[in-house]
Amino acid sequence: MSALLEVDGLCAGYGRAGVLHDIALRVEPATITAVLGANGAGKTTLLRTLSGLIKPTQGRITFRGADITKVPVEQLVHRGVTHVPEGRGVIAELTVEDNLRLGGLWRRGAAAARETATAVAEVYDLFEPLARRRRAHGHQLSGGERQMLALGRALVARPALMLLDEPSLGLAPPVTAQIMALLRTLRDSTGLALLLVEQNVHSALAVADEALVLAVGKIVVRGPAAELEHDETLRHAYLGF
Amino acid sequence: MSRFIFLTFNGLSFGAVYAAVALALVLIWRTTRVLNFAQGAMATATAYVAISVTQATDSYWLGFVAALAAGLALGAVVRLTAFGTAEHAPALNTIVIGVGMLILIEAVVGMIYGAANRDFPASFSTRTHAIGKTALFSNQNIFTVGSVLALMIALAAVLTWTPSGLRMRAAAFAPEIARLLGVRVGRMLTLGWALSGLVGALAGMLVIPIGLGLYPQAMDGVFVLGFVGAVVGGLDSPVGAVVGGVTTGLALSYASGYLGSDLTQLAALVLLVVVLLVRPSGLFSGTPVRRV
Repeated sequence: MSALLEVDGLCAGYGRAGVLHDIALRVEPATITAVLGANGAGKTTLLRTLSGLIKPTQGRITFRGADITKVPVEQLVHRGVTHVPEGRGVIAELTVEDNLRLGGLWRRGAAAARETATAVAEVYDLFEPLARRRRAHGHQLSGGERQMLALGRALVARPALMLLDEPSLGLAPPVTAQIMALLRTLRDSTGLALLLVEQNVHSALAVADEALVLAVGKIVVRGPAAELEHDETLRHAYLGF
Repeated sequence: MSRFIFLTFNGLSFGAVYAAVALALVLIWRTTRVLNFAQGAMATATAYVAISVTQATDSYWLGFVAALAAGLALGAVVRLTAFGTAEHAPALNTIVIGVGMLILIEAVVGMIYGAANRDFPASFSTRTHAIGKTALFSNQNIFTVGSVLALMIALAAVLTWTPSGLRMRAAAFAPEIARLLGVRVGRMLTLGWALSGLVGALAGMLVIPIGLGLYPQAMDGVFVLGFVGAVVGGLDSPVGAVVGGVTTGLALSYASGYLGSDLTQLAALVLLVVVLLVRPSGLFSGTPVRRV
């Protein structure tokens, strides 16, 4: 059986400096894969390479059986990949409603507007606070609301795979817990696959099915999240707790 | 009092033109951080297109529409040829390219049509209506204000309510996020340049007939005043561009009416200095944080 996302021998970096070396990974539908590692290990670079913002120097990225290594960034959302960048990626100058609508603008054709409207309505059902602040601008929202908006906007695109970069960054623990619970719900109810980059190892491992640890651009450990959580030598060596 | 009324209408009419030029500049500046020094020359070139089409078809309005269409096309072409690769270059590079385009366009227009000053017909009568002894405004004044206003409302509606408008705003505010959501940012920027070319072309068609006449450098002075309007309003704000342009028009009309027409240019400079002293980023540059 072929995985939803398959990465093989992937190398990438900025300019001549290599950041990622020989990365291989598989993501199955309806799973959460946590990408862990210290600052500078290459977690964000991995996500940016997968979504086409950085061109890989070597290797192959396959999604739903098709080679997407050279597919332009703008096309990936059509194929079912969305990337929620670090820092929440909410457009501060646009309203909540416009930010959400933006998630559906890649759709073309007669049914596009209706489909997007339905998806936006579903997001409002999922995130009560956003429904109350449709006309508010991005810069008026709290940190938690922004994260909801960024997630909601990605959901409006109805992806099969979501690349999520540090959703807990700068959020209070209860809000983080809420977001993580929501990710689990999405996995179970929609079959969404998630590649989750996190600094917050505890909450990431608690929600993830699989996990992998990056160190200096290489995958040094991988396995079921539950096992990694209890592997003490690993935790001391790479995750610092 | 009657003089004041006349000067106000006159100022509003020129102000509408400066507002259009300012808006053309702002549309490009806020998406690409390029200050398009060729804006005036581009507008002049489209006015020559109008003359050619009018001569060929015997229809003034066909020429008028052709000028607007030429503005759209020229805006897109200038971005794709000259500025496309320079958008991430240092500011000085884009200024040099802009001035280069200005010289190039004016030279090419001069080669094709000659440098002589030609008569350029106005859309409507320029005879001023009067009530009793109070001179008011001409039909051309009404058309100037009305058409600029209509274009601005149409533009605002497109940007606010259409999917393409939302794509353009997203591309302007957060290009990377827009790309991740499937927006072709380059295409949106080209569309912005095209719309800017259209707005500039309208300004040229309105102002060249009143007092300027058509020659290759006809719009240079108007460009400078439109630029003043854009800076007064705040280069990042379309609303600011409109308010700044109208303010400039009114200020210059009063200055030339009451203080003498020699002082017009000086009044523009004074306005610019005063606004920059009080609000260095312009009247309407409200959001201090651009990206979060």
